[in-house]
Amino acid sequence: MKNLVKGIVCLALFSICLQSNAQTPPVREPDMNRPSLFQNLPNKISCRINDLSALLESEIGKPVSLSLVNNLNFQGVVSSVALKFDNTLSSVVIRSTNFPGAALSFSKITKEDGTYAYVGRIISFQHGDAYEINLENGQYYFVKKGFYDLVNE
Amino acid sequence: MILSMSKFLMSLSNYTYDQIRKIPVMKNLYKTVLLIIALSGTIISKSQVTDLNSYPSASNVILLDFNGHTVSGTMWNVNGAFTCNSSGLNDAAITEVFNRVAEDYRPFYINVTTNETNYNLAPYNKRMRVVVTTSNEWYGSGAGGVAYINSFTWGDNSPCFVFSALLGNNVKNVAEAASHEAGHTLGLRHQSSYNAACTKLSDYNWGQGTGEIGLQLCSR
Repeated sequence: MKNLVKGIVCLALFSICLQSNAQTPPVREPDMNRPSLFQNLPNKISCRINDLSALLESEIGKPVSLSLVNNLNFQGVVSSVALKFDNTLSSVVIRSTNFPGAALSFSKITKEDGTYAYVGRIISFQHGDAYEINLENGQYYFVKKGFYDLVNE
Repeated sequence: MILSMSKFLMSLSNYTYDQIRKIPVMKNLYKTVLLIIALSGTIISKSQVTDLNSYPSASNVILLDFNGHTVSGTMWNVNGAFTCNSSGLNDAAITEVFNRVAEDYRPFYINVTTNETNYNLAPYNKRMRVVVTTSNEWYGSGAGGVAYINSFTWGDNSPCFVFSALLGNNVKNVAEAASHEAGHTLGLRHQSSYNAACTKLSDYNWGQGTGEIGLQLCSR
């Protein structure tokens, strides 16, 4: 009986070890049926870098409004700011109040030669479309992308 | 002083270990030496873990960050800045994760490192921080990690994440997730799996074979 108990305990421990080694990592299939958030907006929107750069001076909690197209603004509240790497990287994140779920991130990078590069996106984790700031022929644009073109797990 | 100490030690060479141990001065000396050795071992082992480099001369850098990290000013910060806990892995596990990820990226001119200084020194648009953390509550529990596609070159300090607790602190899974998420930041997408009729079965492909000889495709 004593040996039987020992045997069972050993077997149980061995099974636990095997199970922990074979543990399958959690994965989530992409949801290709996410609703669109920007269906009424064009695929490409001219980006006013000066307006965006002005947002970098904002403080957390401050309401802001950015003109996107015609009479449509991206309105929101500053949720995060950062100034890093000897002030060569300045960033702001704005949580939208009129595009529910969306946020705009914008960063100004000072390159080694003293010139600037700008990067940014508008993404909602609940929707299937997004925007990314791209540089084309010296001009910055918000270019529409699919959510999974920007985010993968 | 050193010379006299050496002479003294040499003069002891005819004694047995037990005899030496019984000399009061030597007893303390041995304790001190043992302490110093133990301390050095700890320091060396710690510094090895915090300064592992797969390709020190490469300017492209993937930092495996196991120490915890505060994230601010990035696209992850929709709800404000947040701080990630450390990975929860011990030094041996960290070393193994590093070795596995370093091996995955061996064909490429990329320095996989655990040294944050090397990340900070890398060009702004040629680096990625992989935050290996137990903190996943800010993102949810549906995935072992998450990354922005192509963010390696964004230059805005956006990291990618590996959620070690959701991966059961399993070293192999954590390492594969780190390579996986870093791969996304370099532009890689999932290698989906299909059946014989070319119908997509899953966005992920778990690879072929099992155990040490199993072939994991880049989707993992």
